[in-house]
Parts: sequence; structure tokens; C-alpha cells
Amino acid sequence: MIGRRPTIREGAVAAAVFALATLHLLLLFAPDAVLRWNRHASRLLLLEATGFAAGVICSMAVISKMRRHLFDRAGDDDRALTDTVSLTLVLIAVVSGVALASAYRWASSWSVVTLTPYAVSLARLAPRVELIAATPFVVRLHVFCSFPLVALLVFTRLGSAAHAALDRIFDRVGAALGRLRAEEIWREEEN
Amino acid sequence: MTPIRAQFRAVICGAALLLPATALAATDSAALFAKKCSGCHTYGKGDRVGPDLKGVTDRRSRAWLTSWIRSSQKVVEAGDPIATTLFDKYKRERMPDQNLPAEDIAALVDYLAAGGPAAADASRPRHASTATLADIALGRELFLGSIAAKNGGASCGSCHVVQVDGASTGATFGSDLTHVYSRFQDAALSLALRRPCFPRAFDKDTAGPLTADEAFAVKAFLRQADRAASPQRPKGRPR
Repeated sequence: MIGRRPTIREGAVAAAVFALATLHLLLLFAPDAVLRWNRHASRLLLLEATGFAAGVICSMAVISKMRRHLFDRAGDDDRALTDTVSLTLVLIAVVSGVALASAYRWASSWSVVTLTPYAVSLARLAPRVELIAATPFVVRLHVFCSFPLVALLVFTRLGSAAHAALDRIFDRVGAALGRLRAEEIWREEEN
Repeated sequence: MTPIRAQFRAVICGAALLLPATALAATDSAALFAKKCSGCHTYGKGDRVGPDLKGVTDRRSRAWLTSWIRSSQKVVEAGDPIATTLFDKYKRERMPDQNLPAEDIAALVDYLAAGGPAAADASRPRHASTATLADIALGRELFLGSIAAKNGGASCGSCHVVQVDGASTGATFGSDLTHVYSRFQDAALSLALRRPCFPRAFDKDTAGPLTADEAFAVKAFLRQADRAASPQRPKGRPR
């Protein structure tokens, strides 16, 4: 696998994941910017089409991953169950996202005045349930899938990979700091 | 009857007599103008039986107006030159004496000084039928969010849809507002548009309601959409 160039399909999936993640981060952290962007119909259409296409690609990728996980697995390991559950949750979240985007158009606009304030209220530990209670079922499903998903993420292979990456970063930073401190002590001893 | 009981009764009767007097003193000056003055006078719409009262508080002193309202004939008979001129100009038609308390006359003069019925008309939302094509176009832009509302926040079209020229515009998340003008009617829709919607902004503290002009433009656009669309079908099973 190492050194292999990604296929077009892998590249498309990576781009779709990146686009969806960026869109959701923008909705959460820059809602005003999204509203400003959406003032022009052409830009709104571009954003919605990009999000929808990315959602469809991600849905197909997750279905494919799920199929491989369930049927082509070489052997069980400790994380198989959490992977299955988290993959199921990802699948529900992505499919419900595509469904709400097609059933209730301009999701990037209306989510800014409903789902973003709800997420902000959760972060402030003062949930405003009225913002989500009146929304259609598919919207609530999309939102509530994210809660167990975040909780389970740490126990999945993706969580392990993220943990390993963070470990490597901390190791490197620690080593660099150690070298700096050693050089400092060495200079003090020389003086 | 013991003296204490008699005193208590006197206090109760006095209070009972004072209450209606207090209520009368607090009479609405607009209603007073409509009842006592508007039969013969207009405010800014020209002379009728008597002169137009627009700017009367600038032309005459408060003391003169109070005396005139109380008894115009006494002022005329006293030889006041302005009163005599007015009496002659308006066909020597005698203005009836107004047996009003001083507070009511003062309130009436204050009302005229503050703009009278014109001020009340200005604060009343304009009817959507008076909108120009430019107002309707502005309302459309505001509804769809092409132009941002002065107080910020999301546009109506971020959640709601309206059928315009056979095509639907806006998001399909909220209710269809095509026939909202028929459902609410003009005055109620004006009030609804001036209230912050649910919740119109990602943080409810940052966006205020539409301004009066913006609400009027959006209302005019919704009226046009209502008129242009096919009649609203009644809900329920077709018969």
C-alpha cells in the first residue's frame, strides 16, 4: 500500500469527505459567512450542489466500506463491533444528510438559523431544545446520529489512527523540547 | 349611625365619585379630536366648515387656543382681531363652546402640536396595495436574501418558499408562504413581519426584526405572490 498512488475513486471519496467536513465546520463556526455567500442564487446553488454531490459520494463509499467490513473481513479483532456500530451511525448520518438536503432544499441556509444555534447552545451547556424539536424527523435523525458517533469515534480504527498520529506529534514535540533543554544545560555547564 | 361609620361612608362615596372623573380626565385625545373637532376641521386636508388645524399650534398661542376652544364667541365678543377675522372668513359660523375640563383641552392642544391624526397615520403600517413596483421588487430581494435586512439575520427565503410566476422560490424547510397574505390579511401580516421570526439569526441576540420599510416591501411582495398564484385550495379531501 505504501507509495501507491490513490485511484480516482479514492481521490473522489477523499475530496467528498473534505468538502463535507469543511461545509459542516463553516456552518458551525462561520454561519454569517455562509449566509453572505448564499445571498447570490448562483453561489447558493454551487454550495448546495457541492454538498449534495459530496454527500452522495460519501454515502456510496460508506455503503461499500460497510459491505467490505461485514462480508470481506479477514478476521475478527477487538474493534470489530465498535467499527460496525460507528459505520452504521456514519451511514445513517450521511444518508439522512442527503435525504434532508433533497427534501428540504437550501439546507445551508436554514440550518444556520436552526441547527447552528442548537449546536452553540449545547456547547454553552444550555440546550435550546425548541430549535430542534420542531424540525422534521430526518433532520433530528441527522443531528442525533452525531452524538453517539463522536462518543464512539475514539474506540474505532479511525480513533486509533488519530490517537497514533497525536502520539507521534507529541513525541516529536517532546523530543525537540528535550534537545533544546539539553543544549541549554550543556551551555550552562560550559560557562 | 356612629361618626366613624359616617366618615367611612363619606370616604367611600367620595372615592366612587372621583373614579369616573379621573377616567374622564384620562380621555384619549385622538378620540376626543375625532368626536369634538373632526366634524368641522381636518388636519392637513384643507378647510371644511372651519379651518385646517395643521400647524394651528404654530400660528396661535396655547392660551389663545385654550380660550377659543372653551368659548369662541367670548373671544370674538372681546374684540380679538384674529378671532374676528376668522369669524368673518368662515361665514360667521359660530364654533360651539366646548365644555371640556382644562386637562382635556391641554391634551387636545398637545395632540395637535404632536402632529394630530397625521402622526397616527404615519405610525400605522401602509397598506400593501399602495406599494410601487420598486417596493415589490425590494420585497422580493429581501425575501430571497439577495439584499440583507438592515438588522441582519437570515432572510425569509432561507426557510420558506413562495410560488412566483409558476415557479417556487426559497427553501422548502418552513411553511409555504404563497397565500400568507390572504391568511393573515394586511394589518396582521405587518405585525407578524415586524416580530423576530424563529429565530432568524444563528444567535438570537444579534438580529433584530425587519424595519418598517422592509416589512412593508416584503408584505407587498407576498401580496403580489398571493394574487398571482392560483386560488388557495381548501385543505381536506376533495369533494
